[in-house]
Amino acid sequence: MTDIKKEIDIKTDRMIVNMGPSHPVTHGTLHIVLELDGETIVASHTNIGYLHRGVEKLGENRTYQKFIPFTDRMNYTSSINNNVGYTLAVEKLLGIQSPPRAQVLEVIACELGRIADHIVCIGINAVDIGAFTAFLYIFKYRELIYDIFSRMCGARLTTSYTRIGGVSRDLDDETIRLIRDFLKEFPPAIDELEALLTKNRIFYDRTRGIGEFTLENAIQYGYTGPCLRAAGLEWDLRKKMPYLGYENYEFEVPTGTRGDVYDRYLVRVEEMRQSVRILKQAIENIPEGPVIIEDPKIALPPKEDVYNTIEGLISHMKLIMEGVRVPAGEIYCATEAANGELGFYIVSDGETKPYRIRVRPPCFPIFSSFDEQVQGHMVADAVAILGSLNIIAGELDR
Amino acid sequence: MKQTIGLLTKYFGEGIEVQTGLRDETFILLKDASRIKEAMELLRDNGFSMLIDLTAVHYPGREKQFELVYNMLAMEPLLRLLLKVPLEGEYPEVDSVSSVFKTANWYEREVFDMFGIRFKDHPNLKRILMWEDYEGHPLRKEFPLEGDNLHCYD
Amino acid sequence: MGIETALGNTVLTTQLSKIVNWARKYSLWPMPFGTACCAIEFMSMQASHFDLSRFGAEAMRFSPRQSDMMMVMGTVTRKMVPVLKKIYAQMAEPKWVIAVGACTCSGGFFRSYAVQQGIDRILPVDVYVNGCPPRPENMIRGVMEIQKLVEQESLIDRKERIAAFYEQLEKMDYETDYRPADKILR
Ligand code: SF4
Repeated sequence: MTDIKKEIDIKTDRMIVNMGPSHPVTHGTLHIVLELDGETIVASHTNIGYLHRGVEKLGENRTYQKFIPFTDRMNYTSSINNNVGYTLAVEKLLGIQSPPRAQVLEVIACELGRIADHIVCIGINAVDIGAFTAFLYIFKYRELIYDIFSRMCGARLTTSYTRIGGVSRDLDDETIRLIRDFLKEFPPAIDELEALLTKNRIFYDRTRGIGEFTLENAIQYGYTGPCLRAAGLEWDLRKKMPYLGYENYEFEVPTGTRGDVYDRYLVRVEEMRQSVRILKQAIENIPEGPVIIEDPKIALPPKEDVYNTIEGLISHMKLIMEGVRVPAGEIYCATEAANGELGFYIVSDGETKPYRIRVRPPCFPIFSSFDEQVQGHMVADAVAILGSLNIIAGELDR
Repeated sequence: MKQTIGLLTKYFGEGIEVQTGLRDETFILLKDASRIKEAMELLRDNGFSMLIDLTAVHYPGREKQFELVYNMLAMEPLLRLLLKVPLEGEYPEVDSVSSVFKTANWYEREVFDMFGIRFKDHPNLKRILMWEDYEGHPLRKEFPLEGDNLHCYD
Repeated sequence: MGIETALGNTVLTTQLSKIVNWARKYSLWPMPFGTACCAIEFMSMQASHFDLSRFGAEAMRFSPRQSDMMMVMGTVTRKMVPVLKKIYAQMAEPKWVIAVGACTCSGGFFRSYAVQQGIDRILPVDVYVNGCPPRPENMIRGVMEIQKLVEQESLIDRKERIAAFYEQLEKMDYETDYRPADKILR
């Protein structure tokens, strides 16, 4: 009898499978080494840093305004959320607030960015699992968001929309019309997406119970954002520590129960619906007024003043050449970006350049749990898990 | 917050110093770096269930050159606390807290990579962002922005 | 042209290299080496709105051995350089390289310790596409430039050009490989 049993449990050698750094599923530059026993993952080792560009060091050598373009390139699927997060941090350091109109515009920008990010995440996750159709359907709406962004700030991807103390440009009527159209068209598209994926047997089987993560573990690992909510905790900084007047909007925070890939997908879909809801309230109630504060030490003066008055010219030159002077001190300011808590820890010594600028990326702690999550799953599941975590290498490595 | 500070004072006595930040944040300075693990365990058991961030700042002018910053979050009630630990020496060494918070594992590797601060009892203290045999620690103040990247100079 | 008069309109005579180049021109197989933001724009270029397949280059192959046009998109850090070199070496001739975006062309605004300042110090680049990120139209233009190049340049010329590139690289005596281990920490 024992002999037969031995034959059944054929011991094979462990196999090492390399994913990345250039691999279709990594969508960026990660390096994952999987140790396999048959098709089951026994251990995994992750290597990151292939997109480490030294953003924090560069920030120490740039003035406060000049760091804004760097924030675009961190989470490049929703750069506008990073812009908002960073300028909020600097505004907190300066002790100022942007005018009410700018705040609403920032909310609009943030929610559009969140939708764009979730579209990428869901679309790519579906492609990796094999549902290419959903990707094509939903990506059309991302293109619409890009059109809105390029009308708002002139760029599709690297937006640099906000400035310290406000936003760079006002919304014109045409853009508002575009946003209204988008809000009309998008909810049916979400339904369509759900029809394609949510009750899809193959998708369900590939994602349900995969990468299950308990709440305690998620908290231990410092999860934030959709992944934490999927594990069952109602935690959203927009609700808990409102900024930009988020307390005035009505929306709900979706949560999951099991914290697996399917739950993460559901949470993201529901969040897109809630974002649409916020957008609908915001677009109807845009207050009148300026979009940037009128402080010549912080915000650039209007162009007519620069050309026509000497004071305007001087303050323009001083701001460009020297930058904003901030009080000495340290602050930590966190916002809810599409992936989770995006925090900026700024140490200032009273100069025009930050002494130390630290970005708290949402995916860094999330990805550190990948090794533990994939253990015991199949190779194909690792791909699904990786997609659902929404790892953006630019933000992970900075 | 008062409760936490009271607790920490009871436990550490003179060992801590409470500072108020620019915009009413609470910073707690833990003077004795060897007790960091104790402090983290105490905080974890008293509501601060999440370690949001762990980073360091380099102050070459000071006597204690490095300062570790532990960014803690309590969910119920909602509190944020920044615990700062000054460290002495060129290549200081402190206890790793990765057994208290799993997320500290990668953060500590990052701090080691960028600042050269070593962590005792860390399961896998290797460089994480730069490649393994890289020389120098980029986020130290004396490290030039271009580093040893020769192509920046031609 | 004796043959043509003898056989009428049924055959067409041409130079071999011309017809080969013509065929190659419309069947470029790109190998997307996307690392950062530009790769996101590449997705748009490939999707329905801009549609790269109009130029016969829609067959993405992530395996370097099956493709003949490498599109390097996104910041190439110094940690990535050995990987990029290896992937380029794995591609079969004939192969072309497009550098998409400011970062790949020149390092862009990441002039720091970690970023390779332009991939033309390590690979022979054929076409540079500017922008940060380039608009999808601009990327398509890059592909069209490659098509022109494919049509005009015979393979022998190309071989010589690439050999000259490497010769020049050696002459410049770059120290691309990285310094030995940090002794203090070991
Ligand atoms: S060129 Fe610009 S958009 Fe492209 S990878 Fe570099 S920073 Fe990103």
